[in-house]
Amino acid sequence: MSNLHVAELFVFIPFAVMKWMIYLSLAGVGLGLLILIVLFIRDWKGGQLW
Amino acid sequence: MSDGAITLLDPRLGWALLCLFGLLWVFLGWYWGRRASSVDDFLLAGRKVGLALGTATAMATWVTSNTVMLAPVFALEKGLWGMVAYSTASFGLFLFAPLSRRIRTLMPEGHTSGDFMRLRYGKWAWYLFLVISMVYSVAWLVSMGTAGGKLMETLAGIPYFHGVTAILLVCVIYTLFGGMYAVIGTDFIQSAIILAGVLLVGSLVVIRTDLRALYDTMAVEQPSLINALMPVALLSLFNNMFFGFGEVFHNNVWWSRAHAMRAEVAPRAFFLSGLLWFPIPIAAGFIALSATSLGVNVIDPNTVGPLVAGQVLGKLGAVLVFVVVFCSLASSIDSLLAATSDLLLQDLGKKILGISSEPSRFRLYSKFIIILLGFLTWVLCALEMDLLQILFLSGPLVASAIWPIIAGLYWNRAHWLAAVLAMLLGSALGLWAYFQIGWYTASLISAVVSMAVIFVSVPFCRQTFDWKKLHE
Repeated sequence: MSNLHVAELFVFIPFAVMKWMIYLSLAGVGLGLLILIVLFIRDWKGGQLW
Repeated sequence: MSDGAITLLDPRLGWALLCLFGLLWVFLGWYWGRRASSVDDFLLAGRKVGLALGTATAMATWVTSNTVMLAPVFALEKGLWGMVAYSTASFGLFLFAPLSRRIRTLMPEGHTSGDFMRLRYGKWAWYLFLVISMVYSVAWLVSMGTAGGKLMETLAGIPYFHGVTAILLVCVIYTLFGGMYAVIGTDFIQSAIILAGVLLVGSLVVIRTDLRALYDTMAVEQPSLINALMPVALLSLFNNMFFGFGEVFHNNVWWSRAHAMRAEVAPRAFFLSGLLWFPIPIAAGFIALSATSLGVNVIDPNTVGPLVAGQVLGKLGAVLVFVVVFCSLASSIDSLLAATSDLLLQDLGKKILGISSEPSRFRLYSKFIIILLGFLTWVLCALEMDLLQILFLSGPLVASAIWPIIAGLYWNRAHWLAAVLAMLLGSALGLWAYFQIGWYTASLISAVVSMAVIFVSVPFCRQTFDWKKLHE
């Protein structure tokens, strides 16, 4: 591997990082929705909404 | 207007969606607004909001149309770091969590962020703070109205000014009906729709796009987008973080929520809302990366997200983006209308102009100010200013308020003159950086200058502040 390629490894964000960044962000959004629903049901049952 | 975009959604469908959701928000605003029997109820939802609604309202307010529209712009112009840069705005919510606990402890009966500045630093810092806060709040309102109008035009062919008018009208009406109860109640529904919509659009784009091919296209045609050392992207990462700190720490939108939630709930709700918010700009932004590989003709970068979603998902994508952005707009505009009218009424009206605080009149004045703010936003939206310019011009102003607020809450030796100088010098040098260097340095420089002034002044200050003075 030439010096140029070694340098590129550090300069460019690898494909795997981009892919997992996207996957994890979507999983995070889904988890957030789930958390909100669970919290709402918990507060509603406990009379703690307002 | 983009010709390709007109075909994505029939204007009649656009108007139907606008009317459907508009009527829903007005009905819910009226329904929840019936709970508001006193002025405190109308302005602060009875100060007993729980964790679910508290988390949702903080998150939904922070998911603005700018999040959904500008996160793709960041991705398009600054690549992968650009998406992360927008997400760093969530750190403002994280760090506001401990501040909200401190605020509730020091000011259990407080109303606005202006109250704090007046009682803690005196009138000069308070006046300056009010100017900064009002400039920012109006800039935020206008940037959202503008974004909404552009979206309606791009996706559904609804004339820009008609779209702006419809959005503002709906938000003003339901905020008028129910005050903070209406705002927080609708925020919950809107946050659920935003999360579900972003998840659905993002997942469908991932399924229908070859990510490997997308990456390879970027590597050949726009390698800067995957460059880990892109200077502008790295600077914007920190700049956005400090801008976020400034926005959240100073603005009455967040202070009013801290006062509206139960004292023990506020820190947890703000922290959780930051966690929920963090992945949204990445999930909403990455779809713009595929613009080049899909051959989407981006005429206006501000609309790249909806355009790509429409291109990949067709009419379904256009409808989803339309609904998500409309919810994002409503959840932030209603919060700003309620919190800014509260700030104007309590600080400018009651404390400076000395208007009557008799409950029925006070509520009437509050409604009048909400209408006035809506009208001002509507007029300014007619200018169709650039979204980034509107938003980031106010960045250095709010970033200059970060340290005066932190120091004021925790250090009894922070002096009023230092707070005034920190805000003045921070704003001035931040604005200079905005015009001379670039927007991506303005908030950063403002926050650093403001911090230096506060840190240097504290050892020289011999007066100690009595925290009991904050109990008004």
